[in-house]
Amino acid sequence: MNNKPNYKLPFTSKTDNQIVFQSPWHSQLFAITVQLSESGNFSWKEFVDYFGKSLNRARIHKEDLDGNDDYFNSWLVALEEIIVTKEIANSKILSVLKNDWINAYLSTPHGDPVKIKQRTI
Amino acid sequence: MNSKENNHSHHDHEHDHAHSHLPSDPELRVKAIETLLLSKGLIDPNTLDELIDTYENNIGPQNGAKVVAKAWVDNDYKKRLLEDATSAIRELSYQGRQGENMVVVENTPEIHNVVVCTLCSCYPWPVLGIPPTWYKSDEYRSRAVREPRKVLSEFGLNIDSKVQIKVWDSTAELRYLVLPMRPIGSENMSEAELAKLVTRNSMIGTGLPENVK
Repeated sequence: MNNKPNYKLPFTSKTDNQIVFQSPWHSQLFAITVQLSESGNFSWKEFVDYFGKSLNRARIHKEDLDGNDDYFNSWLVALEEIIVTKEIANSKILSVLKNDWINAYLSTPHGDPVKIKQRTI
Repeated sequence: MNSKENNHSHHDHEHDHAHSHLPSDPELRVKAIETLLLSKGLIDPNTLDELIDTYENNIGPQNGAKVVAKAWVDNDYKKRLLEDATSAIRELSYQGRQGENMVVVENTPEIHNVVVCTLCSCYPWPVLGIPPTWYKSDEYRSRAVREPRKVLSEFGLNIDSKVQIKVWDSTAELRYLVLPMRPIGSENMSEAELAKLVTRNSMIGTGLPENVK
């Protein structure tokens, strides 16, 4: 089976009706970043500087970033870095919350809403 | 979600799928950030939903198409657009977020313009929405500058060798929109009809407007 993404050149997505966001987490990440920037936590230019560096680092490990999950993975790294640097978050808390979500998914019966316990942050 | 995004290995242990499907690592990290920011009151869930809805449904290349069509029928508007694109685009109420400093570059029989962002994916959101996947790919971002003619041919766009290709590199501070040439045979069409001919790719430079049927 050919797992190669279909957006490699020659470009096949020539139409205007492509889905804007390929995965819900892409759109969520996009919206969180825009909202944080617009409420004054960082300028868009500052974010783009982090993002550009993050993309460059990712390229060292993987030759061609595909513009889809790869792209948003680098976006995610950039957002994590900028919010930690600006002390909006710290990486320890983010990792605790991520584990809370993992535990919640693993302990919630299939079909039930997945929720995490409230923490004092 | 597709199976490759699921980092929950089914080879590690036996179970009966009693628990919920575990999201991928990046999904969990986004959830962690969201949980933290919500608890700190730094983001508002309704605003997040509105932002996503806006860019999925309301803002897109149809906006840029109206700008182009207006420039095709109104010479004064075209002049204003080429002199001060940000203000001229604002006349149609397209402004703000990632469109604060716009430059419109005009295609002519001698020059074909192409836009790229070599740093990441800077793109004029108010007139084109969110960039397509290929615009964000490494391949486009690096090759569009190095070998634009070849890249365009892979889009199915063969530019005559006599025509100069100019590549414009967008930044966080400056966004470009290509003003494509008005299609031959469209002289009697209305502005609204013309807007329907303007494709997203024709405003990035990787395509042309649709032909008049």
